[in-house]
Amino acid sequence: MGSRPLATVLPAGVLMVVIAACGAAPDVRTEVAERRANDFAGVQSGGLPAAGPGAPDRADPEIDLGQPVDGGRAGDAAAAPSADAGQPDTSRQLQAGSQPSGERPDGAEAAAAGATDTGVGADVIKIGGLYFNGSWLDKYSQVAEQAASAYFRFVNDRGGIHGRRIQFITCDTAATVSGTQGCIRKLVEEDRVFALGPSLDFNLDTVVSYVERANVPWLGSSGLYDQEFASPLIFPTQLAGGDMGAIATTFVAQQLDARTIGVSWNTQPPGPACFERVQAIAPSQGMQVVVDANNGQTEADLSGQVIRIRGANPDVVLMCNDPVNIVKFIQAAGRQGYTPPVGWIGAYTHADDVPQAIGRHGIGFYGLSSFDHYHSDTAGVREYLAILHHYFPRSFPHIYSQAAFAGARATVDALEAAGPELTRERFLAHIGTMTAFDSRMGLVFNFGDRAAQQATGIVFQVNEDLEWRQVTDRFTAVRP
Amino acid sequence: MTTFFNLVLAGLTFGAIYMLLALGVVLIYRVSRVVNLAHGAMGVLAVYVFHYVFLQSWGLPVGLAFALTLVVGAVIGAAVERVFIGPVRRDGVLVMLIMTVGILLLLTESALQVWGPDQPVVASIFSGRTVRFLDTGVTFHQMGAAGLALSLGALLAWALNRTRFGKAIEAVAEDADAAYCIGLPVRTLTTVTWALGGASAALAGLLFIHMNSLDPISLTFVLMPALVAAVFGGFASFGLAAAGSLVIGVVYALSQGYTTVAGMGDAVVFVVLIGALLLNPAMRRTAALRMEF
Repeated sequence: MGSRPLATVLPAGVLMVVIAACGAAPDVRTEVAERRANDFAGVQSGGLPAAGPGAPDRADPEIDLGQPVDGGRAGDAAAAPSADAGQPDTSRQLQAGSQPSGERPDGAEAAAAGATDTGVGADVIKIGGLYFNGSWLDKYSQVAEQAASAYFRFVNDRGGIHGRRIQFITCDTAATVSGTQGCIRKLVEEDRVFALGPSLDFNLDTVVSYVERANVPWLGSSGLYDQEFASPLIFPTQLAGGDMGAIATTFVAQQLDARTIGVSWNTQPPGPACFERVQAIAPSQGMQVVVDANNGQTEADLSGQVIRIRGANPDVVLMCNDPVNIVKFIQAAGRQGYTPPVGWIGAYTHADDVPQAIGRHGIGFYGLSSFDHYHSDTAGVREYLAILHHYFPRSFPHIYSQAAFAGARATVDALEAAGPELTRERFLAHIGTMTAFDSRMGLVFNFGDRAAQQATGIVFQVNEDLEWRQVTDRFTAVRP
Repeated sequence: MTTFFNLVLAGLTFGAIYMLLALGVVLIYRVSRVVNLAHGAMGVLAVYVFHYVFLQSWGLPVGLAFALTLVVGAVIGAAVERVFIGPVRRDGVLVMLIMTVGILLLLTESALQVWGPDQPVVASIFSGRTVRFLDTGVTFHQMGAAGLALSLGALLAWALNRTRFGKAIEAVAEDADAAYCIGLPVRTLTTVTWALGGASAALAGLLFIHMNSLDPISLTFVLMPALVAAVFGGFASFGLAAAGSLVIGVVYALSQGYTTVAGMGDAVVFVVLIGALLLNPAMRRTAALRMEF
């Protein structure tokens, strides 16, 4: 009997020693510990620097950011729960029993000094954000959240907006329908945010009608769903899936001179919209889509899809996939020794880790971005990187981090223009006038007339060092 | 026809991964009578140690790190049994099953907390070079994975069906109290079996994750078809579980290659399972007897 406790403790002890004591490399351990400790802490920046004539211009990329801060905090401590497991997952739309209650300030709130609308106090403006941090793509959403938080903190540290600081309240949806719906309800009904802001999340199509009934403006959504672009209250700061497909198809037609295309596409938006646009544009460019193969989010292996596309022998393989499935596709192709005769291109790939994960079989693979390369030496990109790394020194840039940053900038611009008597009506009215909002990273948004939005982008190629190398200047996609 | 053969080959190579997982699941089931839903997470945790500790931190050669990872897998398996499963063994299969879900979440989140969300590509002891075959390619890694899976299956089948160790495990599974009364070291046998299961999970993780990237939940998704394969074997037969794994791999690949309906691969796998259970009464009886949850 005496040996039983020892026999129980020994394996567990060895396991703990392996994991904890010898575990991660010191730098990894430190980084992760800091990141985790800070991820769910608040963004409230405490004492605000005095605003005034001496305050520097936010838009100045050469701005002195002062000493780096503590590694950064991405969200509000009280406002970052996991996905609400209690929400039903039976409907794609959030509806019955979910009548929003936060569309107007109640009497007491309105009477409070400085309260001009829901979520606006004498010294605070509440902005909400949704991120699929608890999902298979969490590494990208976490840094997107950091990019938006960094810009809001930057603004707060310089006096805020008309004397009010921004409280960015984020919520982890875990990439589930119930998570997105639960988070939206929490932000609107419990946190009573003034507006929703920069986000990176799936399933937004299920909350569009709720957002509209609640009359909550949303500037800076991730644009993965066409429904976002159709809503009068929602303004993504990323191109639609169809536009990404159009940019890729334009490049394939005009630069690679291909005649036949095979398409690998993810069944989760924006994959379908991207694929549909490829089909719509290709004939006008003298090309034909000869085969397609779809894939789900969590498929372990895409060998079958590669074989299907190989069988049709297209000149080019065009991928409307998330980065994880693009990596899986090329890895599966590598195992089969397959490379398309003319080339291959992916729409959602612009992050440094993608070419490294693809490996050497992916040398020559093309990727595209709607924003300027995050390593380019332009004023807007320098500003983005300086602010991001000031507040989050270990954050890495990528295409959706840039979109979140652009969303934060757009939100701040609209809030400032709406004036001290901030209301949702004023806020929305100003957004409607933003027909040429310059993200300062190449992409210009037309929030006032979204049908006229120009789909422009840049194409990169994986070089021998497994890094992105820019191979085109910014160009405009052809329209169907 | 070329496409068909290519898909069959792709399915067989991937079925080998299912086989490795299914063998581990069956092995643990045979001694504990519980379907270990944490099997994939145990394997992934071992691979995290392989990549971040043995290779990145300690700089060990890949071969040595590979071998040590199997030991780590065994330690994880033994620790899981001693710390979590053993104490609730007498509370019934349902409690043990729920416990494996808790272990799955614990191990997955632990890996994420310690090593973060990055998803690096991990090394393999086999070359990544491709051999041309039937107008397609197969890497040495895939051939090595298939060879190891078949070898492990044969070894386990022999050890459990032809040795006193196997008979002792079966005795423990049938009636632990009776086995104890006749002098069998019940706890030790149970722990050793979980250790072997953990090592097989680590092996499956090493071989699968090299073909994808290191992700805390990746092997858990692969575990699902492996569980279906284990049902083919009634959670008892290594041979049937191995054959079932290969069949599922091929069916899945053919579904991917010949249909354009999203999720059809998963659906077809489960349709095949239901069909097999309906058409084969013996298998249905075996599964009903074995699956006590």
